[in-house]
Amino acid sequence: MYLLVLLLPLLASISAGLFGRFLGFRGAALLTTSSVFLSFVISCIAFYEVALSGVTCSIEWMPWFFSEMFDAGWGFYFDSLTVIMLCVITSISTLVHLYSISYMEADPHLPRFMAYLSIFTFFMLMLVTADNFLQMFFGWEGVGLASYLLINFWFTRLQASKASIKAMLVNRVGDFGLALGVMAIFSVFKTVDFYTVFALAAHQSEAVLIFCNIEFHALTVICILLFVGAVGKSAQLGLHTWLPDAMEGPTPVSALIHAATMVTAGVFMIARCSPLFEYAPKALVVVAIVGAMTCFFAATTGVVQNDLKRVIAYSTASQLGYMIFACGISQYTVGVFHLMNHAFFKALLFLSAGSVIHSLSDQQDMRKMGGMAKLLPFTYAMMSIGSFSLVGFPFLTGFYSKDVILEVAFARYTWDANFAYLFGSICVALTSYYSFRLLFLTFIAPTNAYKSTVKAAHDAPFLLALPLFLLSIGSIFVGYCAKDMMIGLATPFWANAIFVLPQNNVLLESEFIPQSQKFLPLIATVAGAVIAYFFSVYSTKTSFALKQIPFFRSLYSFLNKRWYFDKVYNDYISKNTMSFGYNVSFKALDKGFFEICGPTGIAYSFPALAQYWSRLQSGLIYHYAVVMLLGLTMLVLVSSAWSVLENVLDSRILFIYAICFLFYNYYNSASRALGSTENLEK
Amino acid sequence: MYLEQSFHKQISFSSFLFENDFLALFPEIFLVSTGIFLLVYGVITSTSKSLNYPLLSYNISWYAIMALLYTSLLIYNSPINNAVLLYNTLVIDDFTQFVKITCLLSSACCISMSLQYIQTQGDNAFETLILILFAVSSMLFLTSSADFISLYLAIELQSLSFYVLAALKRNSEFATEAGLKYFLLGAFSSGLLIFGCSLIYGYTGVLSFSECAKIFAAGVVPFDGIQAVTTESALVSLGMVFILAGFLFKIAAAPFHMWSPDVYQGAPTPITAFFVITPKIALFAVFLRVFLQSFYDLFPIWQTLVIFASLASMLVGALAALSQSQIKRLMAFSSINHVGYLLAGFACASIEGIQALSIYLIVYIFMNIAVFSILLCNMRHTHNNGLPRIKYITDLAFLAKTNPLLAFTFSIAMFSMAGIPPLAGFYSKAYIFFAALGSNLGVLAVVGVCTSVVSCFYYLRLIRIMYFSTPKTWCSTARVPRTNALALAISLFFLIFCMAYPAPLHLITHKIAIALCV
Repeated sequence: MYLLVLLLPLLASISAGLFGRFLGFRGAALLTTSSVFLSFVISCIAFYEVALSGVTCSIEWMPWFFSEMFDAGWGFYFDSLTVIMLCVITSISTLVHLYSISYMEADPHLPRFMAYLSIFTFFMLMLVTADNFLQMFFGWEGVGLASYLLINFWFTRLQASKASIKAMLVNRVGDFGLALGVMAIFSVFKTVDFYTVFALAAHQSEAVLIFCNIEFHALTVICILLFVGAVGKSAQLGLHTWLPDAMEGPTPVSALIHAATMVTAGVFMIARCSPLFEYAPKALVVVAIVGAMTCFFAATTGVVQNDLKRVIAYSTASQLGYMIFACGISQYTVGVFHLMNHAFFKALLFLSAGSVIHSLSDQQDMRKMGGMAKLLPFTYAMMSIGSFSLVGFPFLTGFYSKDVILEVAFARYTWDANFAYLFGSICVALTSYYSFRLLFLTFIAPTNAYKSTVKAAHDAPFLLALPLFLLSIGSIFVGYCAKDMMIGLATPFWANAIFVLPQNNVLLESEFIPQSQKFLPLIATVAGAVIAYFFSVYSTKTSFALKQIPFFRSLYSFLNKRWYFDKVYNDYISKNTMSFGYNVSFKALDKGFFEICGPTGIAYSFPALAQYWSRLQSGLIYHYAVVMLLGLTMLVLVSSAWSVLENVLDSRILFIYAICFLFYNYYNSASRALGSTENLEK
Repeated sequence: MYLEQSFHKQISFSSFLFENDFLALFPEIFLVSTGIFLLVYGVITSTSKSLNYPLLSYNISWYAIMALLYTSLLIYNSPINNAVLLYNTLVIDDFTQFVKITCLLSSACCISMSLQYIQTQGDNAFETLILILFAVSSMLFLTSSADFISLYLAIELQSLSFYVLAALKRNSEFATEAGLKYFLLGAFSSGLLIFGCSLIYGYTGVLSFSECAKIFAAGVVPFDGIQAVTTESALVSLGMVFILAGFLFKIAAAPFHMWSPDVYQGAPTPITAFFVITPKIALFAVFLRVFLQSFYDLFPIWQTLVIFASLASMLVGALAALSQSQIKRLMAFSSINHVGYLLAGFACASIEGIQALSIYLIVYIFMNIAVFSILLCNMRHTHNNGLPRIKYITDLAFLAKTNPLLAFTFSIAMFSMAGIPPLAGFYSKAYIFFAALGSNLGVLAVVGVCTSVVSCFYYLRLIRIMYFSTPKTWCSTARVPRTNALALAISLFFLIFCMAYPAPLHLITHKIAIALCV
């Protein structure tokens, strides 16, 4: 039964992808959606058995790599962390499948789209159910591939192709780190099996690893390398640039992959590896700092974006920052809790945004919207629920996780936690600002839309509305319902899935922080909402006047241009790499050196050599006699003075001579050819 | 009782010395006297007015073939297989018997392949066959020789026959030029050889190979009585270098190879086939004996030289052949290339090396029999009924269209020469490389593989020409003569199926390697 969770999406994907033309439009849609739905049902049963009844399940399925100590097989491991991810993934995936049927109904390639969505679901499930690092890596790469395929779904659009390649390449950097991390784990633990590695983590906490010829604390290196993987996949600062661009893909894709599931894989992986991270405090500091900085960076950038989906994308990156820094201060349970809550309200936001875009004839610029509340009341309500949940309005889903994150950050008295708390608190206000700005500009502010689009605007049809409605339920109640189950000291929910050193557990202290601190997020939220209302609706002239002031103007472009990250990357990294790739590795090495050493050089020099030898064969008898005499002299020389010659005729020198010979002949022939063409021109 | 009997036999052996010598030398005596008899028969009959001056070459060819076959039977059934004869002048053992039989059979093959050629070319000099018989008998003596005098005499007899054979076509400018070149350069090399022998004699005072070996073996140890030899070892090695140079000239190895393309090209094709196929094995036999027996204690010196010659031959053979357009010249360079591989086996000087060398020699003989039996077939223009020869490699273009079976056979031979896996050529080459690697001569193996790749180019080019280019003049083969067909069939069978059942070849070569080395 447990394997069926993975198998169903895979089979559905294969059927829809390879036999889509036989299944047809409806068949493919029905097959994939129902498969994923069944998978969701089974996940719920698994959730009951594993998480609620406390029966973890481990399946050794079949061997994969068995080479001396290296023993990575196909195995599946279901514990609380896995099943919570299973439920999130399959539920969101089911709803997105459902939503896509209506959203993509006009697209002729619907079966392919559904197949990609299902294969993504399969890989994501593979990622979370793996029982060793290698299989997790397989899932990790698989979701990357699915993400690439889906961003590039409309492959005739240049922007989509560019964004997908960018996503792929930026993720390669992270994946490289992850792969190195797995290798480092193997070199330290001699296994990639989760149980063994985690059981040995304490034992190996003093181990050292030689990395780049420098001796490091092994677990710190391993954790930072794993975190590099998380940075790539979860779009943390440095490797975040692909996420906003990935919004070029269809909106359901953004909801499923780039908000709810795949981008949270990094958080999942850190939580999964909590036994390792716990014994690598320096790595935890890095995680916390990077998470907090991402949170701040993405929030500030999101404040001034004008594209509807981009705002939500930066919001996602910002929320991922929250999750990561929650993990960085050892509160993995809180991080995963926020992950789950975020999945619901962010999927809701994206799907609502999709609904808006769909009804406004693919208009994505918020400046060209406004006043849609009257035209799209249902979508407006859904989006409001999502936004309120996102900003952490009391008693909605987001409130229960986000406030806890800030509280535990405050309660942990280390410099990195203070740093994270400071940035996190500022971001509450920023989050509130951009969320309400989005709401106001789209739905409340005086309309700027074209008449034709407004005329055609229509509220969400049933198939679009149903997933929104279900998600809104989730956005309202999930946090409240799951709060006591997932966080807090008393819950037995996590069992052994997540490990926290006793000295790092601050959940109790967070209950005793000053009351004013507990109210601070709410105040910040309200302040952000008010400012947003002031600048976006009440007094747009003030915001215009502010933009006229040079300082604010440059600040605006700085934030709007995403802190110039892309520009720096393009100018200093991509350009240089490109020029290296063309000038050095392609022109100088591949077409130059290797070709002359290989095919071209041989092609030029051997005929020349053969000609030379045949010219030696002059047919004159005294020439032959002289050659014989020379040969004899050489034999005598070799026999009498071999000890001297041995040094001169070193094989390395002969090798160099042979290479030089190839080059000489190549240039000789080339210049002769050049000369002959010049003569022809004359 | 038994001991007494053997003692008695020994006594009788020494008392009837020449009786045993005659018995052991009977095959050679038979061959030489047959040659003389055929000469007398030819001279008397061809000048006989009453018989109307008959043309005898075809007739004498068959007599020569018969003589060669009978000689090989005599050797095969020889009552004495291990002996030292005529006061340490000649020696007989498993190795010599095998080499002699191979020489005889391959020469018989050469003559039988050329029968039709001899008939149709109007080449009526029956002396050719007599010379071939003398050359073969000299090879037999050469193989058996056990001291420098007999070695030199046998080589000179062989060379003299060869000079005349090369220049046999007196009205052809090419043939006379080839003969003259061969003669002059051969005289030069003979001079080197005899000078080397005399140096050795001058500093050791002995001529026999085995005596030499004893002196050099002692020379390694500082010992008062033979101190002189030790101090003069530089001059001994000089003598050895000269002998080696003479040897390298005879087998056409690299720095002394210059004569071979001209001679092979200029000589009539049957003679070329004979030059390519037969003498190498006899020369290798005797020089293996010289270097492994007499000069074994100077091994480090001559190994370097042989490696050098081997590398040079491989390279020259592979590179110079690239630009050849005449098929016989191409085959000459190809044989230089093969000599390089053979010398690689020589340089190992181990049992494996000798075995690999012997395998390679046999495969080499079979491959060349296959190639030359095709080249010796008569061709026919479609328009006029002339009888052109395959002279240039582009002349092969028609073969695949007009005689696919022959073209296929030729391709197999070429593939085998190039060393393509399931064929015998690959097997022999691989064996040589393994032996070289086993003796820590990685350079030879690596360069050998590289030059083998290069030589693939010109072998495969012939196949490309046959199958993929359109001929300028259309020819068809005349009916392939039965003797050629037989030779072709046997050699092809060997080339294809050698890999399937190499055990007999292995056993024989192992036996002869043991005979030589132990």
